[in-house]
Amino acid sequence: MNLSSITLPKIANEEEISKWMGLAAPGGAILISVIIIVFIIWPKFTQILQLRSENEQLTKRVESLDSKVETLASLDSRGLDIKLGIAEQLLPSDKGVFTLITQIENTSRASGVLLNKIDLAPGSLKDAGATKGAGSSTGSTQGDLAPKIQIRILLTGDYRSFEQFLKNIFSVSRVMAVKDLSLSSSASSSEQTTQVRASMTIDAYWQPLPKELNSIESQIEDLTSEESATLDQVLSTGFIAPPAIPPVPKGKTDLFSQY
Amino acid sequence: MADINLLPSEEKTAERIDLARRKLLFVSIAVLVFTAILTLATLVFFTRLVSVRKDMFAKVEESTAQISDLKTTEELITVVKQKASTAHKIISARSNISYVFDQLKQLTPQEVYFSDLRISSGKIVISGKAKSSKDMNWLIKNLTEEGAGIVSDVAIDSLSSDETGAYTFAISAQLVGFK
Repeated sequence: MNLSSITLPKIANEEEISKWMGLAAPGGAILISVIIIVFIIWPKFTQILQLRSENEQLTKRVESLDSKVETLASLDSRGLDIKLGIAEQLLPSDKGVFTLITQIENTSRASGVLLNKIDLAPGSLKDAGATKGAGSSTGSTQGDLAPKIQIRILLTGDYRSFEQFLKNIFSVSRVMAVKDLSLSSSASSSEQTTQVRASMTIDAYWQPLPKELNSIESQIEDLTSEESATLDQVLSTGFIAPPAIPPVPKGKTDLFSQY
Repeated sequence: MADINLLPSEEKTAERIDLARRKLLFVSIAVLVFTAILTLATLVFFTRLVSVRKDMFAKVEESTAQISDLKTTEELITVVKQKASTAHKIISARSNISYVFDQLKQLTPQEVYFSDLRISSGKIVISGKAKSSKDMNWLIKNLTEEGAGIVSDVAIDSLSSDETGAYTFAISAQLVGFK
């Protein structure tokens, strides 16, 4: 029996295997590298991109907040208190019905016209929103910038006094606008100045206080020069407080007895 | 004389495989080094970004606390701004009736007087009397020409004279810029 002829092929196979094994190690290393790249590096890279984007947003947010802090810190709170008082004169936070009536009475007295009638129906005094259909009180409608209370007045006087009344009503601190106006003369030719009878509708505006502040990141807008000028105009008149309504004695034994 | 290849074919194959193995080994080392560097760089960069994010959150919290401390000032400026802005807009948009009267005084001839004047929804209606047709003519002319800044679309709604030659009139027009 020839033994050598049987063992030779086995040796040849082992050599083949060792040759291919030498290739397997670097191949495996490449494969592991690919696995690391695909399953570790690539997901981390995606996370990095996401983090970068988040950090960019955070940077903007920090800048915005820092800017807001700087703006707020630079504001003079005492000066703002005074400005708030003036702004309240321009647009009170409630309807301010009796302040309005007092202002109109004072204006007519100062102008020399006789106030024959004041007609208004303000509705609920607590109502901060739109109160419609009460006749003379309306909320903010589409064309209006703020809620308003309408007041109808009837007055008589000479023409010059009426003109003065018109001028004075525009110089009252509260923002008012004359809507409808009807003017008729009731003069006799002998008189030097014409007596006129006027009826007009005046819109007096008000604005409720905001119920909540804007988001913490919203920027603070300072007053524009025009807005500051509007406030300064009121300040120049010296009326930084609403007209005082003098107190009246109270207490009555018979509720139906006439005054 | 032809070359005689004395190397056996097995040896040749073994050389080729060895060359390929060495090349593959070199490539695998390069890939491994590249992967190692890339992994390290990625992890370092990722850690740095996480640290930056942490700092940012701390800054956001700090600024938020500062804003909360200044809340009173923010409330004040918000209300003042809102009211001043609205007031300015209303004042800018409101109709100046005093100016209309001042202009009408300048445009009306002396021998003309008004008996009734109504302003409603941006329309003005004037009734009155003119001493003569001449005065009436000038009233209309003045209103349409010089008064173009305050009125437009002037219309004579009625015009009648009496035995003295005086004219009773009713004219209407649109007020310019009235809302």
